[in-house]
Amino acid sequence: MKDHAVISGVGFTSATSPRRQPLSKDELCRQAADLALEHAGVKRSDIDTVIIGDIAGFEASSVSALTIAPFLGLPEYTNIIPISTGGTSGGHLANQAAALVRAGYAERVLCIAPNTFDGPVDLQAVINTNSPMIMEQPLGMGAVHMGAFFPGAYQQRYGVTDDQLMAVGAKNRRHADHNPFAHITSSLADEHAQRMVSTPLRLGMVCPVSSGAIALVVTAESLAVEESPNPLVRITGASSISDGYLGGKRRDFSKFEVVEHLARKVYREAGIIDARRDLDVLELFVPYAPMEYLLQEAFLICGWGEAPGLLEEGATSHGGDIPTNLSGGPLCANPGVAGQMAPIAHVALQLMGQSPTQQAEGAKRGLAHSTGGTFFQFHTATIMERVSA
Amino acid sequence: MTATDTTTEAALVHDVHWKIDYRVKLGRAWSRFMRGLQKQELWGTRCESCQRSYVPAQDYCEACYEKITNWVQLEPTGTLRAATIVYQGFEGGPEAPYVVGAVEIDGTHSLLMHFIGGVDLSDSDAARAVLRDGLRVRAVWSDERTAAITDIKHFAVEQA
Amino acid sequence: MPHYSSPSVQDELYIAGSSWLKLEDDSGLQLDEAVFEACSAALRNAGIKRHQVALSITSSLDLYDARSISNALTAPAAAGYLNDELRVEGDGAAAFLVAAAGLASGQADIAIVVASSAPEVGYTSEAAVRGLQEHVSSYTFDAHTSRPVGLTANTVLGLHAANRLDVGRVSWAKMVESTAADINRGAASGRAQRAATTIDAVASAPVAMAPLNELMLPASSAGIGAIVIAAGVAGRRCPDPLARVTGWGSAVSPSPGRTSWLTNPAGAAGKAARDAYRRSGRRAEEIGYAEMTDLTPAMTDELAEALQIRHLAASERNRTGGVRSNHPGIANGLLRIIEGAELARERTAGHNALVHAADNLMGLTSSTSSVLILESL
Repeated sequence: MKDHAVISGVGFTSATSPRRQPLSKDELCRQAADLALEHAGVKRSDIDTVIIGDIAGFEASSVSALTIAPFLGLPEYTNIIPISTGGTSGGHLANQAAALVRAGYAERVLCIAPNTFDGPVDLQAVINTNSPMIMEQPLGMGAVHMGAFFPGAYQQRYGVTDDQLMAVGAKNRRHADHNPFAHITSSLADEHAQRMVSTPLRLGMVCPVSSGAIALVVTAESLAVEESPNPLVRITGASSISDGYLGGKRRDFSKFEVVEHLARKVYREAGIIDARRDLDVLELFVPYAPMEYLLQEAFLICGWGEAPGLLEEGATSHGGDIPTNLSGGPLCANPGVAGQMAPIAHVALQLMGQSPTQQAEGAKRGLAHSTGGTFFQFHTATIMERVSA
Repeated sequence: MTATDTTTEAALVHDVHWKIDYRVKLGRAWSRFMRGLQKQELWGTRCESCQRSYVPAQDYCEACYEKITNWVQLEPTGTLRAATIVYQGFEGGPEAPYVVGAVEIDGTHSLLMHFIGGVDLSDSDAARAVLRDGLRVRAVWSDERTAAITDIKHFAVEQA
Repeated sequence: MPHYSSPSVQDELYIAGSSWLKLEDDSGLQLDEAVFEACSAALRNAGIKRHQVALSITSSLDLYDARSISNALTAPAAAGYLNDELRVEGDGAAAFLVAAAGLASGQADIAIVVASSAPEVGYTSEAAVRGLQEHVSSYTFDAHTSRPVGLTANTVLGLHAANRLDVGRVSWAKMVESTAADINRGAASGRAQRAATTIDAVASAPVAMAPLNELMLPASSAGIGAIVIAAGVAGRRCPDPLARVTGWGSAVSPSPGRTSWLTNPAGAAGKAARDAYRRSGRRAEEIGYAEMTDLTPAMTDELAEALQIRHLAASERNRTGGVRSNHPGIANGLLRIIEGAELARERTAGHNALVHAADNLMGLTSSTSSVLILESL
C-alpha cells in the first residue's frame, strides 16, 4: 500500500578513528541495525528491504552490501539494494527507502550506512582515484584539492577572509563538544588547525577520517503510528542532482550552482517557500569548512556572499534561528557512507526531540544534505518534518 | 540508541589486496582531443543544436542531448577563473607545492582544469594575490608529448 | 458503501522504448559515449526527449568499468545532467525496479534505466569478459572466509550442478542437449555471443567448473541496454510502447553460509514470482511466454518450476537462447526485459509474458531474483 515514509528509528555506533576501531564492518553494521530496530520498536523479521551503501574500491569486497547483509540476521529472501554513488551513497539510502514506501513497494526498510574508510592502507591515494582518470588525475587533483577550488573563488568574489572560513570549523567543533558520536572536538590544537593544506584550506577546515556505522528504519506511516514509540518524522522531500563529470563543468566555483537547482526541486516537493523561515535545523555535508557558506547560500537560506554574516550573528549556532550542523558535521566525524547518512539521522533525531547533540528546541522541519563525486558533481537533499503533535 | 564496545582481545587484521589490469578506451572524442594535444593543437567541440562548447571535447551534448560533430580548433589561451596552491600533495601525485587552476579557454563555455606554472610559490599570500580570477594564461607545451593531458606542461601567465 | 480502488491502480507503468548496444572489440567508444548511444537510441525508440526524463537509474560496477564512481562519467550521458540520478550496484532488472518505484512513488513521470556491462579489458570475447567477471566475482566473496578458498560465481554454479547430477535430478545428456538447443536458438538472433553448434561439440567442449563445461556456463559478453519507463498517460501517449508492467517481485537468494542456496536455489525466484503474480492478478496458466535466467542447464527445470512456467513449450521460453547465447554480466537483467518486451510488442493485446532475471555476482548465492509480468498492448 502506498503511504508516507517516516523515519521511525535511528542507530549510531560510537565513532572513533579507524586505527582504534576494534570491530569489523559487519559487526558495526549489525550493531547499528540492532539499535535502529530497537529505537523503531520493530523486529528484524518485520524488515522487507535493506538498502546498503558503499564506495567501491574502499571496501575489502566488491558490492559489499552482499557480504554485509548476511550479518544483519534478516529473514531469508529479504531484498537487498546496493547503492553506490560515491559521496552521496548515504544520502540516497533514505531517499530511496522513502521512494519504495511511497510507491507501495516496501513497508519497512532498513538503511545501512557502513563505515567506509577503515580498510584502505593509503586512504588519500584511494580517494584520489575518484578524480577523473585520464583528464584530471594526472594533474594532481585529489579530494582536498577539489574542495579548495570553491572557497578560493568564493573569497575572491565576496571578499571573505581566511578567518571567516576558519570560523565555520571552530563553530562546528564547538557543536561537536556536545555530540557523543563526534571524533574531533574543539580540543583540536590551533597550530595544527592553521597548517595550510591547499589554499585556502587549512587543516582545521578539513574533515578527519572516522570509523562507525549508522542505520535507519524507514516505515510506512500508518504502521509507524501503531508501532513506533517516537514522534513521527515524515520525509516530505527527497531528491538528488548530478552535474557534468569533469571539474571544469562547474563553471562558477564561487557557488554550488547545481545545489540551487536541487533546492528549488526539493522545496517545491516539501512546500517550502522561505527556506530560512520554514526550516528549523540544517545538517549539511561539509567535509571542508567553507562549503557550509556556499551550501547555505545555494539552499536559499540567504543571499550570495551573505552566509558569513549569519555565522557572525550566531544565527547558525545552537540557539540561533537556523542552526547548522549541530552535530559538528563531517568536520568532526566522517566515517564514509555513514558520514553521508549522518545528516539525515541527526535531523530526524532533532525533529523527534531526541537529539544526542544540543537540541534545537521545538524543531519541526529540517534539511539534510550529502555530496560527492569529483568536484562535488552529486548532491542529495532530504526534507523531514515532524507530523506528530 | 548508543552502543558500548565490549571487545577485550585485540581484533585480527588481514591484509587484503586487489590487483586488476585494465585497458581503458578513450573513445572518439578524447582520442581526437589527445592526438591534437600531441600536435600542439587544442581542439574542442561545439554543439550545433544549442551552441554549448566543450573542452575537453565531447561528442554528445549532455545538456540538449544531441550528438556533436562540429570540431573547433582553439587558441590555447584563456582566463583563470579559480585556482588552489597545493602544499600537501598525495602519494604518487606531483611534488608539492604546485598550482591547479580552472581556465576558461577563449571563445568557449568550458573550464579546462590544468596546472598553472611559473608563479613563485615561496610566499603563499603573494602567490594567491597573483592567482586571481581574471588572470590571463597561455598553454606551455611539453617537449615530450604522448597524447595525454600532460602534453600541455602547464598554463603560464601571459605577458602583456 | 461503494468500493473504490486503491491509488495504486493508477500506477500503470509502460515500457515506452528500449535499445541494446552490443559492444565489439572495435567499437572505439569511451564508456560514456557508449552509454549515450544506448540511451539516446532508447529515447528515440520511445519518442521521448531528454528533458521529459526526470529520473536516471544506472546499473554498473566500478570494477568492470576500471573507474572509481564510474557513474560519475556516465550519468550525464544517461540523461542524468541536472537530474535525479542513482546507481544500483547490481543487476539491470533490480535497477529497473528502482526506477519503477520512482515512478510509482510520484517522484517522476518518465525514467530511464541503463545497464552497462562494458569491461575495460580491451576485448569483448567471451573468454576476456568471463576472465574479468570471475576475477571481480572473487573479490565479491568475503575476503576472509570465501575468497581464500577460491569461491567465484562460476565455482558456485559448478557446485550446484555437481550436486544435481549426484542426486539424479538432472542428466548429463539432457544438459548437453539443452545447451546446444539454447545456443542454436540464439545464434539466429542478432545479439548472440555464440555461433551455432552441435550436440557433439557441446559434449566435447573444455570442462570449466566440473561438471560444467565452457558452453554450459553463461555466454559472457559486453553490452549496454537502456529502457525508458513512463507512468500513466506519459506512457500511453508514447507512439509505440512495448508493453505494460502489470506485476513485479524481487527476492534475494541465501548467502554462501546457508545450506538453502544449494537445497533450494530457486527459492528466491519462486518468492519473486509469487509476488509478481499476486500484484498483477494473473494466474500462472495465463503466461504465454517466459524469458528467464537459468544460469546453467542444471538450474533450468527447478527454476521453471519455481516460476510456475512448466506448461510453456520450449519455443515459448528464451526464444533467443537466454544466457547460453548471450550473458552480458550485470546488464543481463535489462537484456532479458528487453527481449520480453520485444516479444510482448509482437503479440496481441492482453498476452502475458514473464521475465525473470538473477545476477551472477556470486553465482546462486546472495543473488537478486527479479520477476516482471508484461502485458501486450
